[in-house]
Amino acid sequence: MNKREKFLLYFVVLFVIIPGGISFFIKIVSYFMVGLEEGMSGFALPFINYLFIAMGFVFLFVWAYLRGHFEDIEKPAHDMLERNAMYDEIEERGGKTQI
Amino acid sequence: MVTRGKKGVVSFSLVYAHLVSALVFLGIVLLAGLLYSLQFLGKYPFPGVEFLSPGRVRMLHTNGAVYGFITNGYVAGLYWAVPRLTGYKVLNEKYLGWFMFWALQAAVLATAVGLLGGYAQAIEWGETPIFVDPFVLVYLLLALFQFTVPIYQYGKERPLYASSWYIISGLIWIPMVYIMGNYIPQFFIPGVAGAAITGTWIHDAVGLYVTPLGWGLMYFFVPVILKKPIWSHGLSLLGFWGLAFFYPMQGVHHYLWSPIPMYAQYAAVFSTLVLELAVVTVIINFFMTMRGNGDALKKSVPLRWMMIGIVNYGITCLQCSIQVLLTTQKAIHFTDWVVGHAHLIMFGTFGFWILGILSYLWPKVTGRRLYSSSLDEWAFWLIMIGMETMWVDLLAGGLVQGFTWWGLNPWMDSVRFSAPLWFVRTVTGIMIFVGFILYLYNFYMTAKKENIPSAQPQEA
Repeated sequence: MNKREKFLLYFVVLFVIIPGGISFFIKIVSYFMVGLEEGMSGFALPFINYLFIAMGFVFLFVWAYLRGHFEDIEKPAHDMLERNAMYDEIEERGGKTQI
Repeated sequence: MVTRGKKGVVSFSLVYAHLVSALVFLGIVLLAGLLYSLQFLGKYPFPGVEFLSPGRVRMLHTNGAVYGFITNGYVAGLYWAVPRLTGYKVLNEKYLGWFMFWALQAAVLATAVGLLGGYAQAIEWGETPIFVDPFVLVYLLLALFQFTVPIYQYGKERPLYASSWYIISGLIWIPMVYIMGNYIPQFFIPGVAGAAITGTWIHDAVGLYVTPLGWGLMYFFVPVILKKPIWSHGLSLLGFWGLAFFYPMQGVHHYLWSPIPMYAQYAAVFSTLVLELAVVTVIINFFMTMRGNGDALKKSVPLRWMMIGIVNYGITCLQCSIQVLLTTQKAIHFTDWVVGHAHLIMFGTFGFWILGILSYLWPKVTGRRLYSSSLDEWAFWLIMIGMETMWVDLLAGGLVQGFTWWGLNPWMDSVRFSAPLWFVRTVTGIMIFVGFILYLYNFYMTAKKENIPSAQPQEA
């Protein structure tokens, strides 16, 4: 990653992702409070659903981190193109499944 | 490298079948939309025929678009992209793949018959008849396993590419939000809280199903066509994890000025505005990837479909950040503005991406060069100009209607003022439909003509 990309990455983290997280947290708290109001308990359901899925994504993130998925962050983009070019070649040679 | 033997890993027959289905359903969806627009001109061709009443045809138009056209197009893209991303075949092609294919077509047809027969659920974007919902759910769960197993196998060996992350997330979310949106408001939680869940479902169906799968496919197809890696994979992962954690529950902004407590509405507005910034980072990434490759847009029609779709996505999101403001809502709520917004995202963005995927894959799966590049160009320009004009026209109509109501003028005034704009909408609909006929004819002739091997004619 060159200097300019690094700058953009830090810029996005500081001015987009962190504010995004804060505003999302405020929203979550607001919805939770609505769920506590009389007759509005159903409002809590999307909130529980979100927590359930978000927990799964936290585990997925940890799994990916422990597997080293973020060590060389640009490599997968190059790997994907190489692999695709290889399959193009194989299919050009007739290795495809017929219709 | 995790290749299996010397054969390709893609099932061309499954890709081909889903592409054909996507084309068939697109034709039905466009025809239904065109028919419905005639109702606004007082020229609906089936007056008094309950089975084809405009309200039911409108639901056929919207549900057919999501489940018939977009889902088939995406699944075709997944059958192509996932094995090439991972080097592994999908879980099972021969039995599960074909079972899923026929199950999807049966579910969409049952939905169409159910909707025309009057068995719709009173949930926006969730009108699929209640008896179809369990089958849709089973399909979504099967799709989750069909496509995530190879991704998981690859992920154990090597770092995943951004496309894989988006595909996993879309496939995990959709069964959850489908249950929530289709069952909870109707059977368990009525009233305001139920409406909030419905709003959440409307937005989640777009943001947590159609969007991540679409971006997953764009992160694959755009670099492949350009033969150039995405500008910043780090930025794409940042965009993904931002979406994963901060996108859900956007839908409450659909119910501004409703009885939902105001502090929750303010939170929904604030959160939406900030999220739009995250969307911009994704668009920046694609434009930086395109930098220095402008010529590719001239040569490759598939790439053009995809990039115009990305531009439309940016416009829609900018529009979204304006229309979630409480003041804007006063003018545009219940007007054609919203219809214009929906068309630009569902067809102008995701539809265009699928048309790009179709154009790219069709010569490959049929093993033939495209029949006519001139027809391809005509189809592109007719559909693209038709779509963008329709969007502007509907926005204008929305403003005319909104301000007429705001000024407390008689309702019929807003109808009279809208009539010329509704006429233009029908004309743009005809443009899109004619473009589609050319597109279809070109593909039909390509499949039919003598077998001359395709030499990657659509590469940039």
